[in-house]
Amino acid sequence: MKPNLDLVFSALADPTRRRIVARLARGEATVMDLAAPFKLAQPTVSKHIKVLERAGLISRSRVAQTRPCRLEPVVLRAAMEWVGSYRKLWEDSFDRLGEFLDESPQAQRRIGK
Amino acid sequence: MSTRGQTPVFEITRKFSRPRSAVWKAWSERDQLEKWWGPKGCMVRALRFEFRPGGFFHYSMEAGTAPAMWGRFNFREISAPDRIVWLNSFANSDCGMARAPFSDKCPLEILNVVSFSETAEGTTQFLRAEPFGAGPEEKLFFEELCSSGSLAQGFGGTFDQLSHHLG
Repeated sequence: MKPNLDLVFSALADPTRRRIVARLARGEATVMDLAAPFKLAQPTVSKHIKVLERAGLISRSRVAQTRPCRLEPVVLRAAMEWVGSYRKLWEDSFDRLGEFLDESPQAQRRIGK
Repeated sequence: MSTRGQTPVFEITRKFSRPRSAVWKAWSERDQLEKWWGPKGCMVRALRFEFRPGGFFHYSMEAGTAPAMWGRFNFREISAPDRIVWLNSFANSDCGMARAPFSDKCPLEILNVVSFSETAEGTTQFLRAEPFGAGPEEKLFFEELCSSGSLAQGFGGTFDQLSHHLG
């Protein structure tokens, strides 16, 4: 599935949802597990879970009755790669340019062949 | 966000210990450019390279099994040996302009200016980029995208933990 990064980022724009994601990075948890530390009502947590689920950031087990939530690392990784990416694009490119320039006499010989 | 309506500007400077002529060559020659330009982990291949005002650098970006993406530079100004101005955008396979594959809020075109100055130690390279012809939503997207502030910082804590977790 190709993640919809607009959905991913709007899901992560909320601090409570970021905390839920951080908690799930440590392992699966049920809605009840998640509600306790945040002192939130379960329906409120469920609402946040639905937003994260729609963004593809988490999935819920269909097996157990408590339907524990699990992080979907692939989607999260795609989002992480995108964060700050215009800067990263240029920083990475300039790193390579620097390396390239250091070995440039050889590189220019290769080009001249 | 307070800058709504204004055009956000991205700036980055890098120093190299090589003469300006070497840096200029790396920017102006097809074989050199495709060796260093592009997103990390992507293989960039030049499909078209016309280093002159009005000319195009059209390239494919391939990473593993992901579907290929294309991009293009549309050169507007070239003043050897110290200044290049171009419009950068995503492209289709025929060098036509295209929307970013990941969001329709990403500016269609970004105006880039790179300049090179000679120093005792080598060359200082300065790049300035801003959205071109962008609406308010696109400007906001660009601002969030490249200020190392908002997005990256807002998500920074969570993402640090997660990248640690994901390995």
